[in-house]
Amino acid sequence: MTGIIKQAFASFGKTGAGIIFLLVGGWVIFMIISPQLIALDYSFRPLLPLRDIGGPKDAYTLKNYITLMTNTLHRAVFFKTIWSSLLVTFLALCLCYPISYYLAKAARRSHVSLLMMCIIVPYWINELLRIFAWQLILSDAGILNQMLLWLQVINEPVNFRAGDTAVIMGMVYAYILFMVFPLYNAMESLDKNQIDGARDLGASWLRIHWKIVIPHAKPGMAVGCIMTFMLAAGSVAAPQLLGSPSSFWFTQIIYTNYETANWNLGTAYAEVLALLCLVFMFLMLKLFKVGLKEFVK
Amino acid sequence: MGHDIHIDGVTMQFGSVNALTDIDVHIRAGEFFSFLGPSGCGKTTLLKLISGFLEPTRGKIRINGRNMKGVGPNIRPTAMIFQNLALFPLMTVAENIGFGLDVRKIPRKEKIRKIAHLLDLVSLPNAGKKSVNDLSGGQKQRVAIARALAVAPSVLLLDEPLSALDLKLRKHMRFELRKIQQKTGVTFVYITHDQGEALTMSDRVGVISEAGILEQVDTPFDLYNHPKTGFVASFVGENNAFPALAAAGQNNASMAQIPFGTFFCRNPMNLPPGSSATAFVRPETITLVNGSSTAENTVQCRVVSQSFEGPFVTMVLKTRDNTVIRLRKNNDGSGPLLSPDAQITICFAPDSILLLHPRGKAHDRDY
Ligand SMILES: Nc1ncnc2c1ncn2[C@@H]1O[C@H](COP(=O)(O)OP(=O)(O)O)[C@@H](O)[C@H]1O
Ligand SMILES: [Mg+2]
Repeated sequence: MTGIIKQAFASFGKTGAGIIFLLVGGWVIFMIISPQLIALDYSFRPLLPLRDIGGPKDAYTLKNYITLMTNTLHRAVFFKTIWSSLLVTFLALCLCYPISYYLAKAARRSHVSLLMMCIIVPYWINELLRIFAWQLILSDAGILNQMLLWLQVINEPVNFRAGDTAVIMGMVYAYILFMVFPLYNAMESLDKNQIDGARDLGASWLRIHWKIVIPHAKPGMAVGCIMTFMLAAGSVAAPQLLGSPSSFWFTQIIYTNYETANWNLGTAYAEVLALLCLVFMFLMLKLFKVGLKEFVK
Repeated sequence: MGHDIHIDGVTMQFGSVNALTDIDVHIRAGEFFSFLGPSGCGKTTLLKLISGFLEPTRGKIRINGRNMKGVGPNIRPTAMIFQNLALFPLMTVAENIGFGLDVRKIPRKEKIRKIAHLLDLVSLPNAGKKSVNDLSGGQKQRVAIARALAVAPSVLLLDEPLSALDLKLRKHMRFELRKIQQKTGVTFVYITHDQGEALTMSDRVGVISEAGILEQVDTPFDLYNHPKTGFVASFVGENNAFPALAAAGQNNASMAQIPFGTFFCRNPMNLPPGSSATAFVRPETITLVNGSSTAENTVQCRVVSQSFEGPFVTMVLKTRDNTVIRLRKNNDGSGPLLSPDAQITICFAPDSILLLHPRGKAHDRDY
């Protein structure tokens, strides 16, 4: 830390470094620390009519957090969100692992950039529009049902929009890039001779992946899983547009609380969600035995 | 025990480029065989063909008589040591060596015993628990050898494994490799661009030219003393190369017409008189003659430069017609070096001049 400060003074002079530290410090204090503290403060206060705010009733309480445990609907939605986000993360990992391996180690150099483009181009379109596209694909008269009907796999249109099927499919699609990139990056740096060497020693493809590729790609897998899980758990648009009316995502409950001006409960729930993501991150790092330093890299 | 390898008319093309053309060679069981050639001549390609990572465009490869077409690298009785070794960096030394044993489902106890035995063989006892990243270059080399030998291959393929080591270690490892090969009896196929390695370690050497053509297969002794092509003559060891015409002397003796005179020579190809050829003379076979002489097979030269290399002195000479000749003289400790521009007479022993077909790039090499 002192090293950075010295370096800054050396390269920008006293005024320059002063301005930079003022800007960075201001950013950290006003954009990161204070909003968090204010939110935390909100989450520990009860919802009160305007005239009571600042009065004797406005004391710190755990009421908002307790509501999450006592309200059975909210609790159920919370756990379902965790579970579904885990599922999204897992499906994205399963889908992106072969794609990334192919891109990093099997595809010809000239094909890689083309395929990368194919993955990136959809992201030039706004997330909302992409999700609307999935609405069209998955609706009762949508392309997917039409195709399955035509192939005679099914006799009647399947209601993908019931439950969370559509939400999960939409999210897996929406977050592919966030899983492919870290995986690709990690696999790219694996020496092809390691794979050939293992093969030469008689290893099957399964063993090569289990013993050579996956251990090497672990940091990338951890990063991909963490990003995908956080995005999935924190997503509002996908559940709003693709979910069935009877099925909620935890973010939707937070959103409704803000809409109904119950900021205190909303912030408390948001804090819980943030904590969940933090816990998931450390679990992943532990699971993949990746240090925090490597992760930041 | 080692198996023999038949390489029958193997051609390998990448797109329209011929990396290897019509390679024909029989590598005997239990032999230390080297392929020697300049970089980019297709050596690695040849090893990949033998190990099964590539399939030849034409021709076939048989190991122990069995055609290897369609047999994957994980099935072939070969093990390869890669140019960069390709040790598994996330595993310990023992795990590296045990990798192939795990694949073969060797029981734990036997596996531990085998690993210990292999570590002994490569003189790294007790290194099993170390991480491969903590090893020196030479130690990594040994681990790679042990890992390859663990799967009891009948053919070990080595892709320039010593090129990353420093000179002293390289010389020591040559000796070690040879010892390991003799102890295990495994057929070693070794590729290198370093002729010193090829000549010192091998039972036989095959020389491949830039064009991916196998020029000659012979023992190191014959390769050095009886090269059959211009490429081999100039690639293996050092050689003076002069454009020449074959000629016949008295009693049909073989002669070579070189720009600075006509000399007795060897003509193993029986090139007919008048045909153009290249005459090769090794620098160490040329001798200095005291005083000026007009005896046969001698020529007068001027000393251009000399470099003293300890055991010997290398001299660059010029004949009257400005042909450059290199001469190497043992340093017997007698007398000082010659003065620059000194006039001297040199003598070519009659069979030290070798007349070969002018083929390849042999005669454009400038000395
Ligand atoms: N996979 C490949 N695709 C195209 N060309 C290749 C491939 N592998 C090797 N080559 C070409 O074949 C020639 C021989 O290469 P290589 O066997 O690696 O030579 P060496 O090991 O003797 O240095 C080179 O010209 C190289 O560019
Ligand atoms: Mg090579």
